Amino acid sequence: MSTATRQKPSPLSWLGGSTRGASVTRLVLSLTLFIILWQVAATYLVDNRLLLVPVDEVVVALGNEISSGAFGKNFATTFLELAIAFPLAVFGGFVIGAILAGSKPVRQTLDPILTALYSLPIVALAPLFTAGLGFGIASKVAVVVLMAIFPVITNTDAGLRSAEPNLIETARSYGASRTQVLRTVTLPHSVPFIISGIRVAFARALVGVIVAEFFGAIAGFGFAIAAAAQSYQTARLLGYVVVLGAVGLIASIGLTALEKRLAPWKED
Amino acid sequence: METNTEPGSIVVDGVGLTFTPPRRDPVVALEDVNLTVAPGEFVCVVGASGSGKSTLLRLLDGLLEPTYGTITAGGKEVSGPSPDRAMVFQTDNLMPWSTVIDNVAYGLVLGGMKRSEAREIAATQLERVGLSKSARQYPRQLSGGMRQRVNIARALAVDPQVLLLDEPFAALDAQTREIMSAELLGIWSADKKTVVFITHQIDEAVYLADRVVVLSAHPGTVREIVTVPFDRPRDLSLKRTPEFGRIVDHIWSLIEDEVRGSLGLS
Repeated sequence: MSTATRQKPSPLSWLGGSTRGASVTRLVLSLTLFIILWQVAATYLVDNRLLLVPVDEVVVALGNEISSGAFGKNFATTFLELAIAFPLAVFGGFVIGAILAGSKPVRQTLDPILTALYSLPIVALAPLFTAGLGFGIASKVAVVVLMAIFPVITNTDAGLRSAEPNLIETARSYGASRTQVLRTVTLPHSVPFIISGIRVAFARALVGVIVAEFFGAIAGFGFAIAAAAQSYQTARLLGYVVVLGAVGLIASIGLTALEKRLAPWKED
Repeated sequence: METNTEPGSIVVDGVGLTFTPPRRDPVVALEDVNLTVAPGEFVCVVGASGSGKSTLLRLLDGLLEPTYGTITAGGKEVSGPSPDRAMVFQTDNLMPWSTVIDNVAYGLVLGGMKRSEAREIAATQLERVGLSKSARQYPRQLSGGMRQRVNIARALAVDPQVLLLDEPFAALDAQTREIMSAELLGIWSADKKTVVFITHQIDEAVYLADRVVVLSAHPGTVREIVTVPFDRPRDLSLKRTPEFGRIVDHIWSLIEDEVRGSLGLS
């Protein structure tokens, strides 16, 4: 007898697979589990209705927000802020990261500033931006850019600098110019780094935009959440939070798809 | 010596290379190396570690510049990498983000050839190394031996006059290495390219080469150039003949002390 494992294929092994059907099923299962846990917690564990209300009430509250048009307005505002700020952060972060990677003196000089700013809770500056730039979208864009830019900077810098010397030497032995080395070795190598920087950046951008809206806004998810909290409308508040969670989830799935497309050579 | 200007010839004339790392003592890697390789010749270079084998190969490719002396290839002074010479490194160094076929086409595309055209040539070379079926796979999906064959196909694709191989089979297991050596001999005898092949396996060197250059270490310089008298084509049974053993023993005696020294033995 061979010692190789001989097991009946369990249904779980299909679920652990990488087929599209399996990943959709996993997602549905995971969301269902979440809703069940929520409902159980709201019905049997948490009495305080300011803290938690059942899922169905949240759905109703969210439905009311949508039919009154408030949801659409808030969504549009937050979406616009992110749509301006996030690409700015990604592009700016990439350019700054590339400059740092390209010049050791620049990198060494700026490193302390960048480290300090990256570890700083930028949201602490949100009230300042609201005071300085007003209740409109400008103050939110500023906070989001500052929140999101640092992971892109550091990951771009790390990605561009960590290409294997062997591969660079190989490129040179085939007569590659500096630009060709950059295009055929350094850049492709850094793609997965940059994408994971963008992933972290998006999570930080969401935090940034919501907190910035807390401190004074005319519309937006953060504005709506703050307003709901002040009038003790837990269901309405949770409705917006759930949508935020969904946005984060969709962004993460989208980034995974983007990575598969831009870096198909990477192992899962 | 008119052969020295023919395509595929290499002349190393009084070459030395000293590395000067910042804030440390300079290291003499090679000292006064003289070597002439004829077009179509198969030359192996052996030596203890620290004898500057890889440094010599990088000088021949143009990746390094000699501190003194000159290197000419095909009658022209080497001043940098050129499509006339292709290098095969010990690690396969395939671009992980490119498919096998695009890796083989790499040198051609860098040289300005259209990708579709380069892929056609690459496909031919892949067929020669028996990897047509893997054309659209990524390197990580291949075994070490297959990746090293892709590496060789990439070098052959640019149709160089000189192939420079830096211990290309060192990372492979013994059986794979034997087969790969035989395949390399097949390719060489079909193309008649000049080959400079670095190895630390003395028997591999004697089996493959027309001449074996024995380098001594610290500083690296040519200790002796051993001519290998066996007819071609050679097959693996050659390795069991007494004459083969005698040449291997002779080369080993030339470098044994240095190998012991590098291990801290005396």
